[in-house]
Amino acid sequence: MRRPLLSLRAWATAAAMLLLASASVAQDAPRRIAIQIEGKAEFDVIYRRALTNATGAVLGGLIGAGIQAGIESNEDSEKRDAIQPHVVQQAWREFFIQTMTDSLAEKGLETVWIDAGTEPKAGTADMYMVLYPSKFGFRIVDTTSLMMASFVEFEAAYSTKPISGKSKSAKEPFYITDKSQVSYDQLIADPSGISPRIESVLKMAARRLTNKVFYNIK
Amino acid sequence: MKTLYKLTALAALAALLPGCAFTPAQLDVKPHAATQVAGPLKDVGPVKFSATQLEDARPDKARIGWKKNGFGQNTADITTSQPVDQIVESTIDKAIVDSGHTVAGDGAIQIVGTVDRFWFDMDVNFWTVTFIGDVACTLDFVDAQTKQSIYKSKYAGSYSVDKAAGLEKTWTDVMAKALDKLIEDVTLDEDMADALKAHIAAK
Repeated sequence: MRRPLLSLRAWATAAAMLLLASASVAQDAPRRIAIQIEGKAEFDVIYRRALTNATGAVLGGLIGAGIQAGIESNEDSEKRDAIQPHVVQQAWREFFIQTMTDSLAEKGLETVWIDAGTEPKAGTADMYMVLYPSKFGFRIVDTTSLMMASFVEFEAAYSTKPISGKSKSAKEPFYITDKSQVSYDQLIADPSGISPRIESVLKMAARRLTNKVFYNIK
Repeated sequence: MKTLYKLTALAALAALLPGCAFTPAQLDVKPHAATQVAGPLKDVGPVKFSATQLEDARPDKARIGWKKNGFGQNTADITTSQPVDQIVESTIDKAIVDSGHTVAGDGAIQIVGTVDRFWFDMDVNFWTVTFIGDVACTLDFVDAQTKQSIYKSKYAGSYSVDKAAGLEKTWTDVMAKALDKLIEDVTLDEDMADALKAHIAAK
């Protein structure tokens, strides 16, 4: 009887090696995350608006409420005008988006950018995220001590399936404040501390979002 | 018709606010049991922590918020049924246990610190009320043997929601969600996870 070219054991070994090799390739291939950004992050300073509310004015009359809200908003806009020139232009993009992209890459995730308003097709990526920027800036975080901190506020929806118009309702709110606190007077007295505080909170928020998505996506 | 609806809602709100404003409210606040947040803390090899021990360092320890009358004046306290430090301690322990670690009396790492903020607020707008929950604490992760600090940081959880109206059930839920966000802040802190990993590796 003629012997086969390869024994059964050799065939089994070759098959096992092939399987292991393909599994290794699959592990090495970066997973992809499709990210869509809807909206724009606005710089804001929330000072007076964090200290008062319009309760009395609302019940005292809608005109009163309007006046009170207007005064508060005006006071805050003066503070915003004083702080904003010291903040890096495009801070959101430069710090948040860049840090998020880098953090995702560190975790083996390649970012695929999707144009706003378009819906990614299934198979575009392994994970999908829609980011809804809202505000970043400074706000009162302790109404007793009047201490402020840099903050960022946004929403995100993420899933292993493409996020369509219907599933966009499952947005998760994120509100993150920087660890260090400062009074408004200190901030204005030393404006060199403004931009690093914004950078710090935007980078921290980007890393937190990356971890939230990476560890909790379903 | 739409304006009439809005005016009716405002009138109902106006009637509701002062109606219950003078009775203190006690909220049973705890994080939602179903909240499970995974993060870098999970990647730290299983650690036995001692139960978290915090000191209440809030400037106002008597309440967690104010009930207000129709003119925005503070009329009665909002408090919690359990002491605030214990609520935050249990919340931190939940974050630790949910991340695959254990909490016991003789843990290798102690978590000590302060509760810096635990506040509930309401901001009444034209047609809605914004309910705001805000919790902040400082945590120090300490080696139980050497008593040396491994990592110290501030953590915070904040949640706000706009509703047409809401009473104690809503307020409790808002504070619970702020605690859920505090868990998230702890669990997702990769600097803390890295510090713990380095400490364990060096032992």
